[in-house]
Amino acid sequence: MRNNFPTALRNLPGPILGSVLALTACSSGGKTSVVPLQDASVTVRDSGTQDATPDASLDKFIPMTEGQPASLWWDEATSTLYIADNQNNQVWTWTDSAGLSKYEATEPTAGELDAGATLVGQLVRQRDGTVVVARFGSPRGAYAAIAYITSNGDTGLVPGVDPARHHLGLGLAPGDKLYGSYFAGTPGGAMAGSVTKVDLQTGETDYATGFAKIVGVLVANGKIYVSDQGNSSIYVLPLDGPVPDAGGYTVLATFPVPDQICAGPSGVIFSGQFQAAANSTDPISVRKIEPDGTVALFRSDPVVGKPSGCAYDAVHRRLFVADSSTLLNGIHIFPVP
Amino acid sequence: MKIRCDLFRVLALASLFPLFLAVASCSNSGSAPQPSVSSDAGGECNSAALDAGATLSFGSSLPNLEFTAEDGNISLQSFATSCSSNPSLLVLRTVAGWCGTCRWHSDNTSELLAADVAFRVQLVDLLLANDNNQLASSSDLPSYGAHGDGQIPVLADPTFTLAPFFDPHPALPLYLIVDARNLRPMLALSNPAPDDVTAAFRQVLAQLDGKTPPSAEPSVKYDDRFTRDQWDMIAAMRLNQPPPPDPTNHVADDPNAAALGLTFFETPKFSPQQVSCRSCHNPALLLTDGKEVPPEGAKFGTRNVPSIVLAGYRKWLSWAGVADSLWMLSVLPVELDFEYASSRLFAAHAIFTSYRSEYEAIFGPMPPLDDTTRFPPAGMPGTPEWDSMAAADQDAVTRVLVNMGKSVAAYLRSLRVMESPLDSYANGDLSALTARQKDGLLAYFSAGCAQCHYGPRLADDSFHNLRFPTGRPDKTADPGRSDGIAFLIASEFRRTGKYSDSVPTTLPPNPVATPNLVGAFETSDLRGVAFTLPYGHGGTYGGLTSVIDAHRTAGLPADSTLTVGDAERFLPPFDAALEPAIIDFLNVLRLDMVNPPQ
Repeated sequence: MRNNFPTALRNLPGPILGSVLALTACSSGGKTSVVPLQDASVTVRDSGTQDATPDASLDKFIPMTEGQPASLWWDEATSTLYIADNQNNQVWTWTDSAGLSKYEATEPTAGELDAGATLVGQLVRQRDGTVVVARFGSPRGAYAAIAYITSNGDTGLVPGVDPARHHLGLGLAPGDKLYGSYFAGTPGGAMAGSVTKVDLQTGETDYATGFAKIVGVLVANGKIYVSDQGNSSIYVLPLDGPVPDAGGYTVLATFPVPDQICAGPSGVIFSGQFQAAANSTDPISVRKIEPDGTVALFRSDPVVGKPSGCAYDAVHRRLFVADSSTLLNGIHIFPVP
Repeated sequence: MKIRCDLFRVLALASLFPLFLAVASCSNSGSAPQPSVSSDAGGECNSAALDAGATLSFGSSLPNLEFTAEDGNISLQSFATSCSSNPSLLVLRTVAGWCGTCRWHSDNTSELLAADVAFRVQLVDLLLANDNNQLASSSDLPSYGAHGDGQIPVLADPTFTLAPFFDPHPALPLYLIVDARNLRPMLALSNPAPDDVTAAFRQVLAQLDGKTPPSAEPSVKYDDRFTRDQWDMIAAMRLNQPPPPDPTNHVADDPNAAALGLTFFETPKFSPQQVSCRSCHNPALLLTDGKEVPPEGAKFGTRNVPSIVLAGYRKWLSWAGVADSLWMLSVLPVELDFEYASSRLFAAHAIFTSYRSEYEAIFGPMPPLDDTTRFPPAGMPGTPEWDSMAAADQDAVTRVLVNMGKSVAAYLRSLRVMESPLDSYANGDLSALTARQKDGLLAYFSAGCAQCHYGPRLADDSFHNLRFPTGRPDKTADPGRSDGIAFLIASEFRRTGKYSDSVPTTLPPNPVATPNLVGAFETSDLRGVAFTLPYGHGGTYGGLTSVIDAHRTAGLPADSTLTVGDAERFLPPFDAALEPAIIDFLNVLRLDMVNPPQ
């Protein structure tokens, strides 16, 4: 900027400033339009290795006038986006043709709704149509759970889940196997978390321990990715073991406050961010993590406000991001190069 | 009186002339363009208009406006000079007590009135609002009058009488230069550079004298960029002093109390829900929690957690100013249902059980809290346990709570921060900021930020409605300061109350929730701002880009239900192109604690 530029603006008359502002406002419009109808009967194909130019027309926003989107799951088979809602354990669906619809509410734990604590974590949809949702519970440590909704609408809770352990991460492996996670405070104040194997009928068992605050689990590329906010790291674990000893996990990337993660094209991982990072001037952002661990800001304030969960549609090369900020309560759709 | 805005005249004179001045200020040639004062605006001497129904425009004399003085109303006519006298100027300067740029102009009035014009200029300050942004009344006039040499008359003008002469959202201070003989307005200036003020006086006087206006002198620039007022305000941004004394807290600067205060700050023992100060005020995040609104309390909070690293310097505490001392702020969370969800009896018992010796070493003997018949395990005013206690016992327990708060306040007052590049620059090290950062600082002034964000914390200790979104989960608007005043007045923990260690013999008047304070919140400190997102009382802005843009556009539109009240009128719009430069400057404002808790 030239040194005298701001000085010259110091006494700009209102009419001139006004025209500048009007032009600016026009150039930043169009963020709140609902996604137009598209052909939902497309063939699923792998476009992950294509060097495609992003389709700017995909850059849309789906406002949610009800609910508060927390996490997302893109079901390729049905071209349906599943949305876990922080309010009342509600699950929603969205398709290009039908838009947003209420799906089902998961079963609450005793006393949970009275406490107003229905924060949820990641959700997945198994091939048999069962939707599974991790439940964070109340911030003070209660009402955590893993809830599910079967394809015929029955709801249930995974038995034996400690309601005091916050559950956020949930990943779906081949064969409809589930990997979850939990964390809880320790007497010393630090968080201690584990990755678990989850069986809807029998409960969860520890799979890998020694993490801190696990906020995301992703199964992709034949691996388990673990987003550990407490250690500001994305770890990589093998599927079905053997699991290294605690502390010996491979670190894919390190960056402040990772959040829920999802797989993009060509081995890329995306991460949301719902809170500030220590000693950083980065704005709230969606980050893109390359397979070599390189981290870049993908979308930042003011485009996103409080991004948490994400999901990728490989057919249309678009990334869905749940944004629960007061001003941007809804789902972003970003084209992915 | 019906006031009509003569838009054409405002555009022709108020807007074009400042633009010419701006061009002149960018020129070092010394041959600046002359102001565009129309020929019918001066040179005649008619009687001043006394018609109270007259309109306010550049085309006619001002009506005989009345303003509030300390001892009654005073009319504008009383400042008029004789029609037969030599031309002179009445300068009506509109200011606000909270306004940093206004304070500079008032403090430096004698400098603005150069010797060759001073004897021909009568300057009057019209005060819109006081330091706390309460609409001005006669009781506010003495304190503002203390700025400068105290020789400038100050009158209250809470309704902004001269608004038709200015843009809808002008930057303060505002100058209306009037021919004193006929009260005919000649020129309007908004937050002018000092040199431009003096030049304007000279040029208008020359016009009235029928002479050729003198050539404007080349403006002096400091570090090749800044005007005199900006340079002075930069110097005043240096943070090199401890917090101001707090006579209401006798242990405010006691190291032992500060050490105990740190313990109290961190312990969860005062809350049945295991909540502590540190639950929301994380040292790694400059004593914020980095979240939109805090989930760490017993219930979700509804307002963003501000940094309290510099809380010891603040006049008001919390977004709505519910506390007028740091110890009061430290007391309040204990009994709020969304924070500790505790009670003074519970906290007192915790101190008695776990910290009795440390407490008594500073504050003396504790009440016999082991007598649970006299002192039930939990209770606060309004609960049966509390209300059944003897008054003396209630007072003794409340004093334990207050002393806890005073200890925490002592701890927070003991926090010190490292010198930032801005401090070094303000102290004369011109290399402390890069050229880009200096441009950013200049953009900061150009955008009008310094009107409210000035001084060592870059804040005005006042309240403004920016129409930012609520942080309430039900999305209802937050009334902010207007509710905060009601809470404050009702509290027993005010600095003027019985638990204060220094109660003035003459109590100051209670704050008043004037209409402009509905939806208003305290101006945020900018030290550490780039490191303490998200922003706004609802924590809805996730980065500097969005929150600066929200300032530029005065927040949410009028039909939004996420906020309430009218936007601060003196929030000037600015060019969006300035925003990246402003962010460059704000990134300089580090807030690294010298002695952070581990």
